[in-house]
Amino acid sequence: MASPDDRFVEIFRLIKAYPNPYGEPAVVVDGFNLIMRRGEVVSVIGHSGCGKSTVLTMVAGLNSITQGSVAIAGREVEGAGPDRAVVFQSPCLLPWMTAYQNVLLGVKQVYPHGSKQQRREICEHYLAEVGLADAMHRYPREMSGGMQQRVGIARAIALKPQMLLLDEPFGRLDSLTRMELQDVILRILDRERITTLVITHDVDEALYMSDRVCMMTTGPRAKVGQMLDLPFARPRDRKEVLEHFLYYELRGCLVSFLEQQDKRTFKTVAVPSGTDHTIEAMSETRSDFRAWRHEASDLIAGAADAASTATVELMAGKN
Amino acid sequence: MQNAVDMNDAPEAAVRPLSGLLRAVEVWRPSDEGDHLVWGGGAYGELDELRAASVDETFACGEGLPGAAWETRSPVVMHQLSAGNFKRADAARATGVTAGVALPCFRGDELQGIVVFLCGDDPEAQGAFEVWSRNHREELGLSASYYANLERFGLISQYVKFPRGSGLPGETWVSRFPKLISRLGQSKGFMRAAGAAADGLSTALSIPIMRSSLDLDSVVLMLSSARAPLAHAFEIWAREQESDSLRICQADYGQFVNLQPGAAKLRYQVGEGLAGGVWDHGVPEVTEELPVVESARGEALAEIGLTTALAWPVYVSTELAAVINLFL
Repeated sequence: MASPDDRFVEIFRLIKAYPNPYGEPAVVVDGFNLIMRRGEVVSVIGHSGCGKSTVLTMVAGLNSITQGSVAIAGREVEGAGPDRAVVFQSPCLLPWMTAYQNVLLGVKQVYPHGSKQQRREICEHYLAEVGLADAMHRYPREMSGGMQQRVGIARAIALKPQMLLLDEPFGRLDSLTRMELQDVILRILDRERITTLVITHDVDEALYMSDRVCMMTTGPRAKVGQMLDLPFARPRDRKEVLEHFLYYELRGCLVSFLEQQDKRTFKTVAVPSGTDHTIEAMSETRSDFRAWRHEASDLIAGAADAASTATVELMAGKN
Repeated sequence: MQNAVDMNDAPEAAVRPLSGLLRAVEVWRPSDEGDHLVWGGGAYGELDELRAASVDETFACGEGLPGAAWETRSPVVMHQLSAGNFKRADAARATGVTAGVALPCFRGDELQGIVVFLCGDDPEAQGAFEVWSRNHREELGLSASYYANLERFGLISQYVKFPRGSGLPGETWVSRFPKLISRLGQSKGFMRAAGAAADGLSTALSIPIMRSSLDLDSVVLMLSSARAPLAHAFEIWAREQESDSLRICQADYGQFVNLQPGAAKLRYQVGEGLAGGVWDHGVPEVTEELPVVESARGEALAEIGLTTALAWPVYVSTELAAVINLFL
């Protein structure tokens, strides 16, 4: 019997469509489904442009949802709110404020009735948690990229969110800092039991940080391709994870999936004196017909001789 | 027309039926009283001892492999037949049959039959049966499986889940209709394509097992390799919308690609051919006289030695959605 905690976050058939230049809806994300247990960490991986961040911003309420819904703790959410905190690749700290003041800004919004002393304690606690106990009164310009990202993490977690959304949070950091911050976040998540969605490109990061990995298909019309449950114990120990007998099998599974999604077809087409009806014939089964045709036309236009044969590399898509 | 092809005229078989991973297939039907299952036909290849042990056998609800599928209304995978609940353990031991898979076939609440696949332990055989069932997260996870010489693929698959609409199991959940994928290694629709390619799997057949018209019990995947195919040909038949005739929606003929052009044009009336017969009677059937039953293409089938076939109906509640043909 499933408990409410088993379905703490429910992302149901999330769709995002933008109008294309022809006035037709271009569907970027097409029916993203995900159910998360309370306290679970799920990584979303997929190729650039597949719609991972679009999903995250829709869940965060920063991007409108075309269709579908997001519910947290049984309540459907609309728009942004302090129940969902986001950490982006760049921490975007206010440069005229110290680390402490940056964190306090959000804490004031979430604890409007708390005393000054209480708010101060919250800020200091979370800044200490991320290893900035001795640097909390520094300005962003006085801090490294890694330290600034620590402030961003403290700022998000100090809000005591029900859900934490991390959008490639370590993408701009060197690998040592990245590993340090992964451990910082995992330590906090284990203690605070915050349900977390992590967007990442990094297969090893996904394996180390999450309980499950959600693999997205390549867009357009991206959705969940498959989920991978990870057998590694929490709290995580990097050495144990790397030495787990399944680590490289699971890693191979993720890498193979990404390679499979990246498959392209090489089509050789004859270009008959400047017309593009060959391309139309090739693309007639595709739903995104016009965009595809223009993409192909542009490539063929680049061929030196219009009557010659051009090799055109195009996404295989669903045709 | 039924006798257009004389089985005695068939040339020496180009293929030996049931000589790979699948060693026997059988159908169990409810008795007239409906209180137990009786033998409703089977093909046993060279396993005469297993046939002899089967034809007079009966199963109560919950008894043995077919009885378990009847009781649970779900697919059942049984390993180590010679040591488990398999009622014909002695015959299984004697004939080298090691694992069995039973698929229930219900029309609404009415049992139409149980289809049983019996597999051998040939070290050269490769293939798999997977049962994907719903978990509390509305995902499909592996609830039972049989992998023949696919340890790596089987190991990783235990950790894979498919949400509704994702991958072959998830798509079958949405469509409530069987689906075939050929050339698995290159398929974008089969999410485990790389693993399938590495282990030589070539074809996947998915079958929805419904509890009611909207309630999915599970999705069964049959994964076949080119080296030792589960079946030499797979066909999914359904009724044409614009007429009452039946046509092949999807098919995979493996090495017998010359069957493809004729099959694309083939139309059967209800009652005609193997699929038409199953559509008419609504129950699973096994034949060892395929060229006779399939009179319209009997010669072509006889020429390549395809003589044995299994067909069963796929119901969505009480509605017959499709018939699946396997040429063995």
